[in-house]
Amino acid sequence: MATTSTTSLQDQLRTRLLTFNTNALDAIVTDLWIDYPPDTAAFPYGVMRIVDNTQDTDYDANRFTVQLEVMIYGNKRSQMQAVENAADACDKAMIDYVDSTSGITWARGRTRATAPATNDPAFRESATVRLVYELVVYPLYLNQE
Amino acid sequence: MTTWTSNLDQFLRDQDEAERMGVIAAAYILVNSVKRALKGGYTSGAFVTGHVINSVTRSAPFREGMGWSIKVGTNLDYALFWEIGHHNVFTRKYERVEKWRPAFMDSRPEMVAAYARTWERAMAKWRAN
Repeated sequence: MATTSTTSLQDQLRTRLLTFNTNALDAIVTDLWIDYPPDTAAFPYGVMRIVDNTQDTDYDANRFTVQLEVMIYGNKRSQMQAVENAADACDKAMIDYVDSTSGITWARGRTRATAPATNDPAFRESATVRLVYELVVYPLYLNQE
Repeated sequence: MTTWTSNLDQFLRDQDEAERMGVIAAAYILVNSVKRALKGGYTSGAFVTGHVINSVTRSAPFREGMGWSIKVGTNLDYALFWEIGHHNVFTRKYERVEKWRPAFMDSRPEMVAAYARTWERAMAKWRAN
């Protein structure tokens, strides 16, 4: 666990998502990629990103808010259940998430949406769920002491 | 002898209308920002025509718990698939090119300014001289 850099924060969140609880995400998806999956990625898989890093001006410069976006993709409607189960596993991992082992990170909001049935230019029968968690972070790398 | 009359009801009605006009002004900023972002196309320009640009629109303002809200969007599904990522039938690869979210983030200060400007103009008559 580390918040010594943005990439280590990503790794921390990825580990949390993949391994939390017995219905862990890593038992459902083939992998959870950061930012962009490789062309060879097998379905169902997840993609996570940290987006919209905004500084909380009320708390000086050492606290910020980020959106952690997790996308779960399946390539046929029969994978819809697995995709939704994967989204459930993400929710279990991130709702009420608090970590103070390195800096402080906690979750305070979540949105979840299932994409409608796909058509051109997407492959038909794709199954997609989008999750967004709002996280507040006091990272170590902004601690100047 | 003078009779005191409260203008509070009128003030609240004007303020409500000012807020409604404010969200419309803010929405137009975002509509234009998204249209600008879409002009360059997604990967090569081949996937975007005037069709999607012309489909960017706003809803009528509607009330929510915190006050007036408004939505900016499109009725074209494929704009959504590009925004959230998809396995592309033509390139046979994962494709994702966000246009809407970055446009929203970039135009936030401008939207706030447009809201404030419109609100202030609508409420100018209440300004103390």
